[in-house]
Amino acid sequence: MRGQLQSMEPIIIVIVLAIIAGLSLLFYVRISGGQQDEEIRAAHAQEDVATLGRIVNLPEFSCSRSATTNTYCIDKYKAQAFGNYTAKNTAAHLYYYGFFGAANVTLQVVENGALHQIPLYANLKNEYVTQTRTFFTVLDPLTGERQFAILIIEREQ
Amino acid sequence: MRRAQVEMIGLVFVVVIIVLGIILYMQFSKSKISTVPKDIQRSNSFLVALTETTIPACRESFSRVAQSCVLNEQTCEDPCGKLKETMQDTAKYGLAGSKYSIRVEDAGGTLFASVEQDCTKNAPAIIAAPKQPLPFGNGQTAYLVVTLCR
Repeated sequence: MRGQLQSMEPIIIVIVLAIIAGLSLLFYVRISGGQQDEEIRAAHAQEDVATLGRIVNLPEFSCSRSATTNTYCIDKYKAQAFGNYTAKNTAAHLYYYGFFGAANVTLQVVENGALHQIPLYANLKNEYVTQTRTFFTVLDPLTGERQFAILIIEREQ
Repeated sequence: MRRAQVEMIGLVFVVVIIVLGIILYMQFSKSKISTVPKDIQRSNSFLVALTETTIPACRESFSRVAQSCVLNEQTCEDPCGKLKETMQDTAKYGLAGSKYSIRVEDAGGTLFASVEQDCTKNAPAIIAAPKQPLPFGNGQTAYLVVTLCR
């Protein structure tokens, strides 16, 4: 028995070392993968705020009468008109590609307790997407009210 | 000590190291470190957007109605109730699928309006959002606080 154990010794050592190496590798991959996910999400969050900033500064969306003291001001009706226009007009859709890129951009407005969906730009065919949400307010120029809104950006995974 | 005994002790050490490695791995793999930046951004933008939102029944912004609620002014009927309704409506769509608590309180922690979804004030939070100050212009300030729970 002892003889058998002694002859198996190098094999056992190799197996144990392999298990330790495998676990270390798994641990490393898990940690570095988590960090990478973290960085991607942080980059997406920054990109969302940047996109919102760009939208706000476009005359196609900006408020005509101002609420300039507020950071973000998007005219709700301009947003609706923009969504309808880019959905029907291929040239406009192509023109704004440089602006929105490969993404679906949707505005959701909470109005009297209900949610109204305003698609701004749709450019993804892939159904496997990541979705990020940024909150801000839109101005209804008819009533002068600011309504709670959610900017939803979908990107390919 | 015989050589075989020493080898057995060595083997036991190796087994202990492997078990420790597995325990450490399982412990780290449970932690949700990846959700934090997303939640910081989400709770901050939610706070700012909510304070700017107009409450139609009062025709005033959330922050102005909060002032009415705290100072007991009658800018509209039941300002504290209107605050609660607005918080419920916005959280229903904005924070859907999350456990949250939204509160309007003064500097001393006195609660004026709040809504909760499986998340009490002292529950373990994913991210403690900075309080959004709602200054009244008379030296007094109330705070809007959003807590996202695990």
